[in-house]
Order: sequence, then C-alpha cells, then structure tokens
Amino acid sequence: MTASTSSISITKAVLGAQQIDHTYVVSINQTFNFSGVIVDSASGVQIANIQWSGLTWSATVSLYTLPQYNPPGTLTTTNSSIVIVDVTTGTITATNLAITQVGMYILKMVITSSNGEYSLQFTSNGILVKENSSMF
Amino acid sequence: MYICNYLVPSRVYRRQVSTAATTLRVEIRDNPVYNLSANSTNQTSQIQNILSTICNTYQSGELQTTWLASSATGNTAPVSLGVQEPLNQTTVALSVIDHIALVVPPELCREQSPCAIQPVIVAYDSNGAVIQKLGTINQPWQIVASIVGQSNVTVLNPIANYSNGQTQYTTFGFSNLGTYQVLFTFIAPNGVST
Repeated sequence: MTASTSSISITKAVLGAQQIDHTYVVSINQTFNFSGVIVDSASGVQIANIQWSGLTWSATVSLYTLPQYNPPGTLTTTNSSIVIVDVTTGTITATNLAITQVGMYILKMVITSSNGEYSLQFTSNGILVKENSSMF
Repeated sequence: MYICNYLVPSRVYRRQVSTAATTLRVEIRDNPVYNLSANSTNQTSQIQNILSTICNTYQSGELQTTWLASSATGNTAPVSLGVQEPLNQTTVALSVIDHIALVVPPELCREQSPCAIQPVIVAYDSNGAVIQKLGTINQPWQIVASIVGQSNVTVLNPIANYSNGQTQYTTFGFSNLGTYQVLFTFIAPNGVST
C-alpha cells in the first residue's frame, strides 16, 4: 500500500542567521560570548546539517555602528578569542569578546560559507556595558 | 489480566439457519494494585499493546482472514469493530483500509528546510470513505517517505503519524538540491505482518 509523487524539484537553500544565548549586561572588559545559528530564511527553522554539500563556515564579529550617538568603547579580543563552528549543533560562537567602555552596544556577526556563496549577517540585542563595581 | 463480559444479545434460533449478527463484547481489565499509594498511577501499557494489535490486525484485514480460517469460529468473520480505549469514554468504530492516495504533493521545497507545502496522504476504505483513525490513540499508524532510486539525498523528518483522517507532516523536507520522486508507505504496525 503505497503512494508516490511525480518529480519534485528542490531549489537552493535561502538562508538567514539569528542570535542565540543572549548576553544582556557585562562589565567593562569582562569577557562574554556571542552565538548564532543558520536558519531557513522563510520559515526560520534551523538548518539541520550546516555541512550539507560539503560547506564549511567562518564568521567575523564587529561593533555595529549606529547612525548617531555611538558609545565610546571598542570591541577587543585576546589570544583566547576564537570563532567556534559546531557542526553537530549548527551553532557559531565567537568567544571571549570584551568591550572597553560603559555604554549600550550592538554587535554584528557576518557568517560566510567556504564557497563564497552565502554571507549571512545579523545583529545582537543591545548589550549594556557597566562599571566594574561590586555595587552593581 | 482477564477477559470478562461475553454478551450475546441477539438470539439464535435453532430451527432455521440464522444469519443474524452476533455482538461479541470483550473487556480487558487489569487487576487492581495491591497497595495504593500517592505514587499509584494507571498503568495501561500492557492493555495498550494488546489493543493496538487487535486494532491493527482488524484495520489491515488480517484479523478477519485469520478468524475465517480458524476451525473454531464456524466460518464467520467480524464485519465491524468498535473500540473504547483505556482511560477514554468514547467508543469509536474502526475502518478497514483499502487504499491510500497522495492528496497534496509536497511543493516549494528548498534544500535543508521544510517544504512550504507539506505532503498529505489519506487512507480510504473499500467504500471510498476517508478513514479517520488508524491504530490506537497512543500508537497511530505511521507513514514513512523514501526517495525513489538514488540516495545521495535524504528526506528530512520522513515519518508522520496518521490521525484525524490524514498524515500529519509538518517538517518534511530534503537535504540537497536536485529533482526526486518520493514514495510514501506505511510502517508495518504492531502485530501486522505485511
């Protein structure tokens, strides 16, 4: 007892990316991670296997420049700051980031595929950087 | 566990060959637990499995064939079956499956994501009526999708339950680009050989 389809054409993936594991508040120069996942652009469903068709991924992180009133701090990294691409969970994590001055900041991550076909970017939630004080 | 309550409400007349229908009502019960405690729950899994086998063999037609072939059942076979499941208050009449059809083919499929139009397969009885329920509530029949021919592509989330008169696919998709044909077939339900 079976039913079968006629030919179905599968078209190219249309991808997007979004943040996971949000960090909302850090202190000046306190390290934190920034992570994202690759999703199907239309449904928002996370891609099952980011290595399908042999793709590999890399990512860069920078501060997102606001139209006005940019806070004074900069994004810093150390020797232990790396981008981890976990192909099992499909997550991409930039580790050990830090911001140098008080303010509200937005980070931007750009994820690119090894064949240059996909360049996916997304911005973070607002990250509040506060004084390094035990009072807060 | 024991079977109780065998009822034959319609009378069988000895003087004529009767073709009157007989209703056989079977209740399957478990013994109560010896010690009730705050942690006592209704353990229905054994009964569920027995029930599942009865429903599956009836809905596939195997039960009727076995019944008819048995020397003990006097050349009879069940013509209908109603089931009241454990911890449930309603009795549901079960249909016998005759054929299935792909009513909605999957469409607008991109690699690595659910097809925008999910496939729908419907099962019908010999009168052409849609079958609402296959199997039990806990163990519904399941359909599995496979690619015809080559297999360098996989189907994402290929299995769906059959309930409410159709398969319930929500995240059916494909792993890679290309053009493929898909075959849908039932996973052999509990107790059924084909």
